[in-house]
Amino acid sequence: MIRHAAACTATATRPAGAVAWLVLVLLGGCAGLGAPPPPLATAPVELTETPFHPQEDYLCGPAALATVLNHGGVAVTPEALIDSLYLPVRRGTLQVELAATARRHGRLAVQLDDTLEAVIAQLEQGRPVLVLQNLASSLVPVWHYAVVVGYLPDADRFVLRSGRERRLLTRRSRFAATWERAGRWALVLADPAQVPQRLPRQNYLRAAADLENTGRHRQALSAFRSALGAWPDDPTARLGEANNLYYLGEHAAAAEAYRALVADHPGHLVAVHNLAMVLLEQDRPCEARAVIDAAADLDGDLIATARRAVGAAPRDGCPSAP
Amino acid sequence: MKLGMQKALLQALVISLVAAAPLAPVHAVIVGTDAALAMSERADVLDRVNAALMRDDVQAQLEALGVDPAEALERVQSLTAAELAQLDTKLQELPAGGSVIGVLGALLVVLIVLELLGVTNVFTGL
Repeated sequence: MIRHAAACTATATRPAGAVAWLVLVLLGGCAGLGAPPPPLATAPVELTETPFHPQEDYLCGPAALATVLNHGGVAVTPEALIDSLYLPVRRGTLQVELAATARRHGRLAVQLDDTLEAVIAQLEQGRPVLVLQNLASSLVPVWHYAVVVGYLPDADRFVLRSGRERRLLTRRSRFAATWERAGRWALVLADPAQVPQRLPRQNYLRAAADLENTGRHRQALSAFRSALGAWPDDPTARLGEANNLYYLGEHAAAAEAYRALVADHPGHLVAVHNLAMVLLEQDRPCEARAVIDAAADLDGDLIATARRAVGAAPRDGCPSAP
Repeated sequence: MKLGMQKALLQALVISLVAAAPLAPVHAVIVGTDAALAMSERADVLDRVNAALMRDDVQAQLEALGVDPAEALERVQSLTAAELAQLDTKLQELPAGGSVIGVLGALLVVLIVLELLGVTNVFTGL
């Protein structure tokens, strides 16, 4: 989702506030109709030890990312992140760059489900949440990155590290509206070596696959193994483990991992394909042939490719199929 | 002489090829984890779309509109991931069945879905 560059001057927030206020006045008649929703039913939570980097002009992206990186034990300053994050032309930072920079520091960037409850669940796990806000309106957006570090149900307020405010208390309705206008984008960072408790499974696996795609195979392997701690037997996590073993040059171990995965999930097309191809590469054509023979009832492009490759390999000395 | 040079050249070529072989990247074409993720996500969406299209009220709407439900299901299978996602979003809007409003709502959603599938041209025909 390459959409926003977040601009965040201290001066820009004031006219933005005025616009929001005007919009509120215009919509006032409607807003008064319903009773305000009750606070979210949860215990108060606040990560008081999360550090704070007061932002310089336009630099909310580096400040917010440094905050969550520091919280996870990565020592880095916003200044050190500017080069990889800040786009002078846009006077801001793109969301994808935040995730990419987190990866460069060995962290998984996991996007959250788009609910306030999902944000609070992460706070309860001790993870601060990097959010994108639109502080103005959809027509005249003022993008801003902040870090949510707490929610206080009694006051119905979120606690943010934001701009130059170390502990900004924002009404839930206000936060929800600014977050909504920014597409409810929320990110947490995860250490690949730690079991991902209460993280959205699919998004975690995608973040781990992003590590793999960017050539960080050691970290990707670690992330997929951690995923198996949270979701044992998840086929994608098992495939990721095997794939990254392969990329790291441990071909025999990769083959064994594929084989175990295929034994448990005979219909896993990618696992069958990769197993057959790796066996061929390891000069074990008879075993590759056995894999393809056992997958006779599978079809699709991947299986066809593997079947062709196996068909082209020599069959001398292979035990004939029963 | 000329023949000898050609032979020497050929030998050099063969030697360089043989020498280069171990240096070439030994890469089985394994499929990355992201591709597997995309496939499983597509399968999940497909399941959801199929389940929605199999609903009794949706099937009834399809038949009332003269569309063969089997054909609609078949067209769904050949959609791209992006098209499927669009269809899925629409089908999530299906109201709970039962009420009159529910039936009308289902009709509207079904019409939009059929438009996406290219089975009907109700809207373009208006």
